Amino acid sequence: MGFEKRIEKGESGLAALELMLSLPILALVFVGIAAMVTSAARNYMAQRVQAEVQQEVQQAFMRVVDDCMAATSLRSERDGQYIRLYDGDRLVKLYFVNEDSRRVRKLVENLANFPMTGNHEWAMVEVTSFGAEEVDPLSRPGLYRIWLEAKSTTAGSVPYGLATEIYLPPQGGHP
Amino acid sequence: MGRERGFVLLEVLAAGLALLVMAMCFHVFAGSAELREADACRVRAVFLARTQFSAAQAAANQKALLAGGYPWQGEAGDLQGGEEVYSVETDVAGAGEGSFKVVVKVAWQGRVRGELELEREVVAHGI
Repeated sequence: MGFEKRIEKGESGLAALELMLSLPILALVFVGIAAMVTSAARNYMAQRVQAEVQQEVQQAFMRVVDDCMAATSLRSERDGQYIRLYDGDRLVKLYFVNEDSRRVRKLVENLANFPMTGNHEWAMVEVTSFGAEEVDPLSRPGLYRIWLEAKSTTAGSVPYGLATEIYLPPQGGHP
Repeated sequence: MGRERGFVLLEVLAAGLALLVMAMCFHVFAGSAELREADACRVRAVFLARTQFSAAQAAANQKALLAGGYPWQGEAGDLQGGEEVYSVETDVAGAGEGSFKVVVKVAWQGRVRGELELEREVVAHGI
Protein backbone atom coordinates (compact mmCIF):
# COMPACT_ATOMS: atom_id res chain seq x y z
CA MET A 1 0.00 0.00 0.00
CA GLY A 2 2.71 2.57 1.02
CA PHE A 3 1.60 6.15 0.25
CA GLU A 4 -0.77 4.97 -2.33
CA LYS A 5 -4.26 6.18 -1.55
CA ARG A 6 -7.38 4.87 -2.98
CA ILE A 7 -10.11 7.37 -3.67
CA GLU A 8 -13.42 5.84 -3.17
CA LYS A 9 -16.73 7.10 -4.39
CA GLY A 10 -17.88 10.14 -2.36
CA GLU A 11 -14.47 10.82 -0.84
CA SER A 12 -13.05 13.14 -3.46
CA GLY A 13 -11.81 16.63 -2.32
CA LEU A 14 -13.07 20.04 -3.43
CA ALA A 15 -12.80 20.65 -7.10
CA ALA A 16 -11.53 24.04 -8.26
CA LEU A 17 -14.92 24.83 -9.72
CA GLU A 18 -16.68 24.15 -6.43
CA LEU A 19 -14.18 26.37 -4.64
CA MET A 20 -14.68 29.19 -7.16
CA LEU A 21 -18.42 29.04 -6.64
CA SER A 22 -18.54 28.54 -2.91
CA LEU A 23 -16.03 31.24 -1.91
CA PRO A 24 -17.95 34.19 -3.46
CA ILE A 25 -21.20 32.83 -2.04
CA LEU A 26 -19.59 32.55 1.40
CA ALA A 27 -18.21 36.07 1.04
CA LEU A 28 -21.65 37.37 0.08
CA VAL A 29 -23.25 35.66 3.06
CA PHE A 30 -20.69 37.14 5.47
CA VAL A 31 -21.00 40.61 3.95
CA GLY A 32 -24.78 40.35 4.30
CA ILE A 33 -24.53 39.30 7.93
CA ALA A 34 -22.04 42.10 8.66
CA ALA A 35 -24.33 44.65 6.96
CA MET A 36 -27.31 43.44 8.99
CA VAL A 37 -25.42 43.59 12.27
CA THR A 38 -23.99 47.05 11.48
CA SER A 39 -27.37 48.38 10.41
CA ALA A 40 -29.10 46.96 13.51
CA ALA A 41 -26.43 48.42 15.80
CA ARG A 42 -26.68 51.82 14.11
CA ASN A 43 -30.47 51.84 14.38
CA TYR A 44 -30.31 50.82 18.02
CA MET A 45 -27.85 53.62 18.79
CA ALA A 46 -29.97 56.14 16.89
CA GLN A 47 -33.08 55.07 18.79
CA ARG A 48 -31.33 55.32 22.15
CA VAL A 49 -29.87 58.71 21.32
CA GLN A 50 -33.25 60.04 20.18
CA ALA A 51 -34.93 58.60 23.27
CA GLU A 52 -32.46 60.43 25.45
CA VAL A 53 -32.95 63.70 23.57
CA GLN A 54 -36.71 63.40 24.03
CA GLN A 55 -36.40 62.50 27.69
CA GLU A 56 -34.11 65.41 28.50
CA VAL A 57 -36.22 67.92 26.58
CA GLN A 58 -39.44 66.67 28.19
CA GLN A 59 -38.06 66.75 31.74
CA ALA A 60 -36.41 70.14 31.36
CA PHE A 61 -39.40 71.67 29.61
CA MET A 62 -41.84 70.43 32.24
CA ARG A 63 -39.73 71.98 34.97
CA VAL A 64 -39.46 75.28 33.14
CA VAL A 65 -43.20 75.42 32.41
CA ASP A 66 -44.14 74.46 35.99
CA ASP A 67 -41.81 77.09 37.41
CA CYS A 68 -43.14 79.71 35.00
CA MET A 69 -46.71 78.96 36.02
CA ALA A 70 -45.77 79.22 39.69
CA ALA A 71 -44.26 82.67 39.16
CA THR A 72 -46.23 85.89 39.31
CA SER A 73 -44.36 87.47 36.43
CA LEU A 74 -41.87 86.55 33.76
CA ARG A 75 -39.30 88.60 31.95
CA SER A 76 -37.43 87.42 28.90
CA GLU A 77 -34.17 89.01 27.83
CA ARG A 78 -31.58 88.61 25.08
CA ASP A 79 -34.12 87.86 22.37
CA GLY A 80 -36.14 85.76 24.75
CA GLN A 81 -33.38 83.27 25.52
CA TYR A 82 -32.94 84.42 29.08
CA ILE A 83 -35.97 83.85 31.31
CA ARG A 84 -36.29 85.51 34.69
CA LEU A 85 -39.11 84.42 36.99
CA TYR A 86 -40.39 86.66 39.76
CA ASP A 87 -42.51 86.24 42.84
CA GLY A 88 -43.73 89.77 43.25
CA ASP A 89 -40.55 91.83 42.91
CA ARG A 90 -38.27 89.04 44.06
CA LEU A 91 -36.28 87.14 41.45
CA VAL A 92 -36.85 83.45 42.19
CA LYS A 93 -35.39 81.69 39.20
CA LEU A 94 -33.36 82.17 36.10
CA TYR A 95 -33.18 79.94 33.04
CA PHE A 96 -30.78 80.41 30.16
CA VAL A 97 -28.67 78.53 27.64
CA ASN A 98 -25.00 78.31 28.50
CA GLU A 99 -22.20 77.07 26.28
CA ASP A 100 -19.83 74.92 28.33
CA SER A 101 -16.10 74.39 27.92
CA ARG A 102 -16.73 71.71 25.28
CA ARG A 103 -18.89 74.14 23.32
CA VAL A 104 -22.10 72.22 24.10
CA ARG A 105 -25.10 74.49 24.63
CA LYS A 106 -26.95 73.43 27.79
CA LEU A 107 -30.06 74.74 29.45
CA VAL A 108 -29.10 75.77 32.96
CA GLU A 109 -30.99 76.84 36.07
CA ASN A 110 -29.71 79.90 37.91
CA LEU A 111 -26.01 79.10 37.49
CA ALA A 112 -23.89 77.90 34.58
CA ASN A 113 -22.79 74.84 36.50
CA PHE A 114 -26.36 73.62 37.09
CA PRO A 115 -27.19 72.08 33.70
CA MET A 116 -30.62 70.60 33.05
CA THR A 117 -29.70 69.11 29.69
CA GLY A 118 -26.63 67.77 27.95
CA ASN A 119 -24.88 66.36 30.98
CA HIS A 120 -25.04 62.78 29.81
CA GLU A 121 -22.15 61.46 27.75
CA TRP A 122 -24.25 59.10 25.65
CA ALA A 123 -26.28 61.46 23.52
CA MET A 124 -24.64 64.78 24.44
CA VAL A 125 -27.85 66.75 24.06
CA GLU A 126 -27.38 70.27 22.76
CA VAL A 127 -30.03 72.96 22.99
CA THR A 128 -30.73 74.47 19.59
CA SER A 129 -33.49 76.85 20.59
CA PHE A 130 -34.98 78.04 23.86
CA GLY A 131 -36.91 81.05 24.96
CA ALA A 132 -40.07 82.80 25.97
CA GLU A 133 -41.93 85.72 24.49
CA GLU A 134 -45.20 87.45 25.10
CA VAL A 135 -47.61 86.38 22.38
CA ASP A 136 -49.40 89.67 21.96
CA PRO A 137 -48.72 92.31 24.63
CA LEU A 138 -51.51 94.56 23.37
CA SER A 139 -54.51 92.31 22.87
CA ARG A 140 -53.52 89.36 25.08
CA PRO A 141 -51.17 90.59 27.81
CA GLY A 142 -49.77 87.94 30.11
CA LEU A 143 -49.91 85.15 27.54
CA TYR A 144 -46.40 83.79 26.96
CA ARG A 145 -45.12 81.28 24.47
CA ILE A 146 -42.29 79.07 25.80
CA TRP A 147 -40.28 76.66 23.70
CA LEU A 148 -37.33 74.33 23.98
CA GLU A 149 -35.66 72.43 21.16
CA ALA A 150 -32.58 70.22 21.31
CA LYS A 151 -30.70 67.62 19.39
CA SER A 152 -27.85 65.26 20.00
CA THR A 153 -24.37 66.16 18.82
CA THR A 154 -24.00 62.63 17.44
CA ALA A 155 -24.43 62.34 13.69
CA GLY A 156 -27.91 61.85 12.27
CA SER A 157 -29.82 63.15 15.27
CA VAL A 158 -33.13 64.85 14.56
CA PRO A 159 -34.04 67.96 16.57
CA TYR A 160 -36.84 67.46 19.07
CA GLY A 161 -38.77 70.36 20.48
CA LEU A 162 -41.75 71.24 22.62
CA ALA A 163 -43.68 74.48 22.86
CA THR A 164 -46.64 75.72 24.82
CA GLU A 165 -48.28 78.87 26.06
CA ILE A 166 -48.89 79.86 29.64
CA TYR A 167 -50.90 82.65 31.12
CA LEU A 168 -49.62 84.84 33.91
CA PRO A 169 -52.25 87.47 34.73
CA PRO A 170 -50.76 90.96 34.46
CA GLN A 171 -49.97 92.50 37.86
CA GLY A 172 -50.29 89.05 39.38
CA GLY A 173 -54.02 89.05 38.68
CA HIS A 174 -54.66 92.12 40.85
CA PRO A 175 -56.59 94.97 39.30
CA MET B 1 -26.83 7.04 -0.90
CA GLY B 2 -25.64 8.33 2.48
CA ARG B 3 -24.96 11.81 1.03
CA GLU B 4 -28.50 12.28 -0.22
CA ARG B 5 -30.12 12.56 3.18
CA GLY B 6 -32.38 15.58 3.80
CA PHE B 7 -32.29 17.92 6.82
CA VAL B 8 -32.60 16.17 10.09
CA LEU B 9 -35.21 17.36 12.55
CA LEU B 10 -32.62 18.81 14.91
CA GLU B 11 -31.20 21.11 12.24
CA VAL B 12 -34.62 22.40 11.30
CA LEU B 13 -35.51 22.98 14.95
CA ALA B 14 -32.25 24.84 15.62
CA ALA B 15 -32.69 27.06 12.56
CA GLY B 16 -36.34 27.71 13.46
CA LEU B 17 -35.41 28.60 17.02
CA ALA B 18 -32.75 31.03 15.85
CA LEU B 19 -35.23 32.70 13.52
CA LEU B 20 -37.82 32.87 16.30
CA VAL B 21 -35.37 34.53 18.68
CA MET B 22 -34.40 37.07 16.02
CA ALA B 23 -38.05 37.83 15.26
CA MET B 24 -38.82 38.24 18.98
CA CYS B 25 -35.87 40.62 19.43
CA PHE B 26 -37.08 42.70 16.52
CA HIS B 27 -40.64 42.69 17.86
CA VAL B 28 -39.53 43.85 21.32
CA PHE B 29 -37.30 46.57 19.85
CA ALA B 30 -40.02 47.80 17.45
CA GLY B 31 -42.55 47.74 20.29
CA SER B 32 -40.38 49.82 22.60
CA ALA B 33 -39.71 52.34 19.82
CA GLU B 34 -43.43 52.64 19.13
CA LEU B 35 -44.20 53.02 22.83
CA ARG B 36 -41.63 55.81 23.13
CA GLU B 37 -43.10 57.54 20.09
CA ALA B 38 -46.62 57.25 21.50
CA ASP B 39 -45.40 58.68 24.82
CA ALA B 40 -43.75 61.60 23.03
CA CYS B 41 -47.02 62.27 21.19
CA ARG B 42 -48.99 62.30 24.43
CA VAL B 43 -46.53 64.73 26.05
CA ARG B 44 -46.77 67.05 23.05
CA ALA B 45 -50.56 66.76 23.12
CA VAL B 46 -50.65 67.82 26.79
CA PHE B 47 -48.62 70.95 25.97
CA LEU B 48 -50.86 71.71 22.99
CA ALA B 49 -53.88 71.46 25.27
CA ARG B 50 -52.16 73.75 27.78
CA THR B 51 -51.83 76.36 25.04
CA GLN B 52 -55.60 76.27 24.55
CA PHE B 53 -56.35 76.40 28.27
CA SER B 54 -53.98 79.35 28.75
CA ALA B 55 -55.48 81.24 25.83
CA ALA B 56 -58.98 80.50 27.11
CA GLN B 57 -58.03 81.76 30.58
CA ALA B 58 -56.59 84.95 29.07
CA ALA B 59 -59.73 85.47 27.02
CA ALA B 60 -61.96 84.79 30.02
CA ASN B 61 -60.13 87.39 32.08
CA GLN B 62 -60.76 89.89 29.29
CA LYS B 63 -64.43 88.89 29.19
CA ALA B 64 -63.84 87.74 25.62
CA LEU B 65 -64.39 84.01 25.97
CA LEU B 66 -67.59 82.80 24.34
CA ALA B 67 -69.30 79.44 24.41
CA GLY B 68 -68.84 77.31 21.30
CA GLY B 69 -65.94 76.18 19.20
CA TYR B 70 -62.58 77.75 19.92
CA PRO B 71 -59.93 77.69 17.17
CA TRP B 72 -56.29 76.75 17.68
CA GLN B 73 -54.57 79.63 19.48
CA GLY B 74 -50.92 78.67 19.16
CA GLU B 75 -48.57 78.75 16.22
CA ALA B 76 -49.39 76.61 13.21
CA GLY B 77 -45.93 75.02 13.31
CA ASP B 78 -46.63 73.58 16.75
CA LEU B 79 -49.17 71.21 15.19
CA GLN B 80 -46.38 69.37 13.40
CA GLY B 81 -44.07 67.31 15.57
CA GLY B 82 -41.69 64.67 14.28
CA GLU B 83 -43.57 62.44 11.88
CA GLU B 84 -46.97 63.22 13.35
CA VAL B 85 -49.51 65.87 12.48
CA TYR B 86 -51.76 67.07 15.27
CA SER B 87 -55.27 68.45 15.21
CA VAL B 88 -56.83 70.31 18.11
CA GLU B 89 -60.55 70.72 18.71
CA THR B 90 -61.68 72.91 21.56
CA ASP B 91 -65.16 73.33 22.87
CA VAL B 92 -66.14 75.99 25.38
CA ALA B 93 -69.34 75.64 27.36
CA GLY B 94 -70.71 78.23 29.73
CA ALA B 95 -71.04 76.88 33.25
CA GLY B 96 -72.31 79.89 35.14
CA GLU B 97 -71.31 83.44 35.92
CA GLY B 98 -67.90 83.92 34.32
CA SER B 99 -67.24 80.21 34.52
CA PHE B 100 -66.57 77.96 31.55
CA LYS B 101 -65.89 74.32 30.92
CA VAL B 102 -63.17 73.98 28.29
CA VAL B 103 -62.72 70.60 26.62
CA VAL B 104 -59.68 70.11 24.39
CA LYS B 105 -59.37 67.08 22.14
CA VAL B 106 -55.95 66.52 20.59
CA ALA B 107 -55.56 63.85 17.92
CA TRP B 108 -52.41 62.87 16.07
CA GLN B 109 -51.73 60.89 12.94
CA GLY B 110 -48.50 59.66 11.44
CA ARG B 111 -46.30 56.78 12.38
CA VAL B 112 -48.45 56.35 15.47
CA ARG B 113 -52.02 57.46 15.98
CA GLY B 114 -53.85 58.45 19.09
CA GLU B 115 -55.94 61.05 20.80
CA LEU B 116 -56.22 62.72 24.15
CA GLU B 117 -59.05 64.63 25.75
CA LEU B 118 -58.51 67.06 28.57
CA GLU B 119 -60.99 69.21 30.40
CA ARG B 120 -60.63 72.23 32.63
CA GLU B 121 -62.82 74.74 34.38
CA VAL B 122 -61.87 78.28 33.47
CA VAL B 123 -63.08 81.09 35.71
CA ALA B 124 -62.81 84.72 34.75
CA HIS B 125 -60.92 86.75 37.32
CA GLY B 126 -61.69 90.43 37.68
CA ILE B 127 -59.10 92.54 35.95
